[in-house]
Amino acid sequence: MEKEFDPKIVGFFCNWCTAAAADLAGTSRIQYPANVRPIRVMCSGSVDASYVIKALLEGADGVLIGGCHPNDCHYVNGNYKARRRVALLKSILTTLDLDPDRVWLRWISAAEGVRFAKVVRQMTEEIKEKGPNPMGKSTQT
Amino acid sequence: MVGIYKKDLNPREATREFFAELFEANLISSALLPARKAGLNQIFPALLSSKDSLEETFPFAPVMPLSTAVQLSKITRFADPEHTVAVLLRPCESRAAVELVKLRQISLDNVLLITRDCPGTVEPETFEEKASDTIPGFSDFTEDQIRPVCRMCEHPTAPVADINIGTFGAEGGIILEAKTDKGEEILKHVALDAELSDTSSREASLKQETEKRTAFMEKNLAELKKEVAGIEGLVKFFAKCIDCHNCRTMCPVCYCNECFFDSATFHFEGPRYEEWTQRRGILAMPRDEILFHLGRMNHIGLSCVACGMCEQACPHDIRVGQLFTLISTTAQKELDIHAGRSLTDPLPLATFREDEFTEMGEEKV
Ligand code: SF4
Ligand code: SF4
Ligand code: SF4
Ligand code: FES
Repeated sequence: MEKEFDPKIVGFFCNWCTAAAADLAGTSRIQYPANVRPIRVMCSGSVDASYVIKALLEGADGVLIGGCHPNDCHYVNGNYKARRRVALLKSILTTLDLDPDRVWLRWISAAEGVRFAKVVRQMTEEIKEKGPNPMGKSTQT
Repeated sequence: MVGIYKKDLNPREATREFFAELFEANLISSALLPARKAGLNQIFPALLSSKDSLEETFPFAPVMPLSTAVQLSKITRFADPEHTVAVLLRPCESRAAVELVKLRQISLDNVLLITRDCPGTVEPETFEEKASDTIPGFSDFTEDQIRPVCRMCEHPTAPVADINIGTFGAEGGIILEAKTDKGEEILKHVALDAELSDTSSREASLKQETEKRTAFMEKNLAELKKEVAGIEGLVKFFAKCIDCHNCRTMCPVCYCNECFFDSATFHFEGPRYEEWTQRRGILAMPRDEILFHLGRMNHIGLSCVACGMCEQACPHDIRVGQLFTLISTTAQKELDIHAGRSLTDPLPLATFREDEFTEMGEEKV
């Protein structure tokens, strides 16, 4: 039997919200798939698109950026800037036919352990459906 | 104010006369104009201190070895506001200059910004072949010699200037148009042949030119989009790329002193390469050129003025300027950003609107 495709998702999680939500989900023993490799960042606004692209080129099947809800960013408006940057990144990926739906931006507050688990579950399922990311398969990148 | 200037002269001569008048009336202390380099057939921007060397200038030479906007950032650093420098820019150079002003790389305090209409440019090699004792003009070249980015350029005239020198719709001489108070003040000192009260034929000519270019752009970019689709398409498009970053070096809006893609962020140690090689079986070197291009698109896609300096600088003729035009015109449309449009527009990546993309991030689960 062929081994089931097990997607690799890289998570860039804001220290003040989504990273805390991940901890909360863990300590509250909420079940969610172990597909996400989390990277803690100080704010969603500090995630340069290059890091997302690097992850996709190096074999990530999806990238999840988690930040504080609008008006809750620790640095006032980093999340709004992140949102615009993700919109640009998705526009570019769409133009180049590089599947923008492998990049997710979600607001997940420190209290939303349940939402965190649901987002991870949903994303893992959708990426599983898509199959492996061709960007990481190319030997030339 | 809009008026006809020196209707018996060709645009080159009329423009030289105009700059001579600016010098004579002491309205400027220097001028930055395209000029013959050391008597050779190379046209580069040069700074002039008086009208004496104006015969060496070729304001309409259809070649752009580099974007003058970058030179403008050099000469306006801590500039003395007492000494006005008049600069002559093409539309894409003016638009790049606007982006650099927004990025605080240019100060226009002592600058008289003069722009001129642009029918397009050819590659420097094409220009050099044609140049002899005389400097060729736009009409000495065939349409397919004009750079594809120029044939796609939707800005035959510049949106931002103190004074624009119009050639579209001009039947002789040039059309001078003041676009700011500073420009109005200057034109008061200049002897126009006649005021132009009816600009409809100029507008019609500009409209026709823009429509022609838009049509070519749509066709050309649709083909390019098909060609680069997917990671295979992109890898093929950049197959000859040697990761030299010339495209970035010559890009007027890539202004960083140290580019992120040259920084230590992308310096890895031997064991990492070993690990990647073992994991992938084969690892193409150099490592990060696709990342570099995609990253640069994200850094400057909203400021790109589609000037094609990147493409012209590429040693392997990769159509990188056309690709950046594809992604930047698409993204700027979608995000309602207009590079080079106005000095008071906010910086695209340092700002945001609370009411944009509001559905993003909020998706219910
Ligand atoms: S990316 Fe290329 S076309 Fe765009 S502004 Fe830079 S040099 Fe000009
Ligand atoms: S690619 Fe990005 S980091 Fe490099 S010079 Fe351009 S804007 Fe700066
Ligand atoms: S100038 Fe050409 S070869 Fe050099 S990095 Fe840019 S695209 Fe690649
Ligand atoms: S601090 Fe969490 S998104 Fe800015």
